Amino acid sequence: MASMGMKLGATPATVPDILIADDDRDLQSVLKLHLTDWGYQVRCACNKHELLEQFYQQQPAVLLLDLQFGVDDGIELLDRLIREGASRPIVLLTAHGSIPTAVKAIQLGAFDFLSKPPDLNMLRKVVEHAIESGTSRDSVESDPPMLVAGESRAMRQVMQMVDEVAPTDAKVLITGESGTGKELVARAIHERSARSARNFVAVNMAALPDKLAESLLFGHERGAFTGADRTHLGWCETADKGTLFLDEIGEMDIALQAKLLRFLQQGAFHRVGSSLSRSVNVRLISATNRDTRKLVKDGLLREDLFYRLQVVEIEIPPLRSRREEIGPLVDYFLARSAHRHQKLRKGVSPEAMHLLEQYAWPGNVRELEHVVERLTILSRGDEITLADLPQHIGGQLSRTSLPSSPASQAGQDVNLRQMDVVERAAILDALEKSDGHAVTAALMLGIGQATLYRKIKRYDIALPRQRTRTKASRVARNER
Amino acid sequence: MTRASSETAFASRPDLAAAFRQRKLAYGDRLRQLTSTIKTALNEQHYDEVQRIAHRLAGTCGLYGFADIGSKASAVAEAVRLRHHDELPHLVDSLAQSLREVDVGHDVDDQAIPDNRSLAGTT
Repeated sequence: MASMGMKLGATPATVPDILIADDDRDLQSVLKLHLTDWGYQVRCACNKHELLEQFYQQQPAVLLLDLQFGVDDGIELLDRLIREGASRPIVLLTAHGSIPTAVKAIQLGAFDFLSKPPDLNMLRKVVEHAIESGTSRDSVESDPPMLVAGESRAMRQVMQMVDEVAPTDAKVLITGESGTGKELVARAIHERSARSARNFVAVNMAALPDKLAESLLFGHERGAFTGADRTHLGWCETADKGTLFLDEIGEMDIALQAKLLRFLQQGAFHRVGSSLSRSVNVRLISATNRDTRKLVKDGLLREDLFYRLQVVEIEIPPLRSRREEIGPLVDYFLARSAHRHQKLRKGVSPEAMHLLEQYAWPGNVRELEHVVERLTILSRGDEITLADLPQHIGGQLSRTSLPSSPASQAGQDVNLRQMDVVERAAILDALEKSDGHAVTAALMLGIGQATLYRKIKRYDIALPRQRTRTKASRVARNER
Repeated sequence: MTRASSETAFASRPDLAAAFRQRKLAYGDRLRQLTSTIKTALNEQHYDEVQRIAHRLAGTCGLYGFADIGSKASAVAEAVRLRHHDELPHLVDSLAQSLREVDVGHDVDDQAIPDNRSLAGTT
């Protein structure tokens, strides 16, 4: 089993450390307390000199960087760190939560973007996610996330395919619902390949603005367009001799798909603004949570590209179809969150475990992980009992226990479409209430900014112009 | 969406809770001192200074439980950025009043404040 990548019961070798780069000591101070409470080591930098020294010497697990860092511009610092090969995720903090700044930060390579004061739940999620994901330019993790428990036949087959395909250079398409661990499988393939010493570059296509996706993927020459004041290597070049992982491939702009196809056919590409053909040696792994054949049928994914990408297809089954793994996964997450939060490892009563095993887990392993972490923190006593479980898990039991008929399946499809409508309306409402600030809207919706951008793109929502005067005027009016 | 707050955090770490109370007390003192600073900056039309103070308050106050001051500071910073100087006297007055009246609560217990060195990972 160990050869299949199981890390059951593993615990992190060290407590992850976070570097806060902000010249406001009051902000540093309170963030430091919260991050310490969540189980992290925390360091602070008050100026650029301290930041650079600590960032390179200590190699923190995550850098929280203020956009307005004293007299220095956080975006410029971010750009510098990325260009110098920063190998740790960087999260921007800013009081100016505007879409252009957020997009620019993400384009430059920031892991995420939080408005100040950060919502503590969101900050915690982002930091956890950053630590688990490492960074797009980092293939080495001090605390690698668990891939699979491997107790089920379905996952054993997945891992067998990983072992078989890893030593080859075959292109792999990974499919599966959100939260099943597609990126982890991609990383596992990379780590078991001869390319493991080189970069694993992960790119979420849904988070890339169409207009900039080409230059981010293939790079651009100085002067290629307004604002291109220096030559920029694209992710294809960064991944040379390594692995390029394109997640949510179905979200890629159709025009860019043609260029990706040419790259796959010829191994050659042009940086934006250059006629020089360049070639790199990259292994491509792609992933999607959507039905690839339907994407092709609907004209959203080029058929010729699809067949290029899908030399080997690995489908990760949803957690509800491999319930025998829930118990071992709960054990693993209990051990990990107890270590992370410096708490005693709790047990689970048989009744509570039965409910956990019966729940449908629509968010798959990621949802299970978050639930177990909350239980570790919030439940009292040494054992998690029925009383500790969230209500929706108990409430889900009767629904999932019922066998689904074709009629109920059709009803589910209708419900899914209705959910799309509701979700789109909720996003529009949040954007309206936040005056078009995506960062604020994401906080209101309780989702990450990258997720919000993806949904904005999916639902083809036109971003309203930010009405920045409105807020000042509204406060003034309320005071009168 | 329920927002977590510093006020309700640190349930399992009384040392951190006490450290937070200590820092909130000190922060409250600094906020009160800013009352005259920001009004003077406005009177002398030092808009950059008004912007700097407001920007910082907007980013930090909420984490100490002073969300109302943070909102008012954000409005001031935005008005300076947009050069809506005519709105500033009212906005700064409102902010200054909140700063002057800042209340750190009655649960601050100086006796419970631990030695900072006991805060693992925070030094």
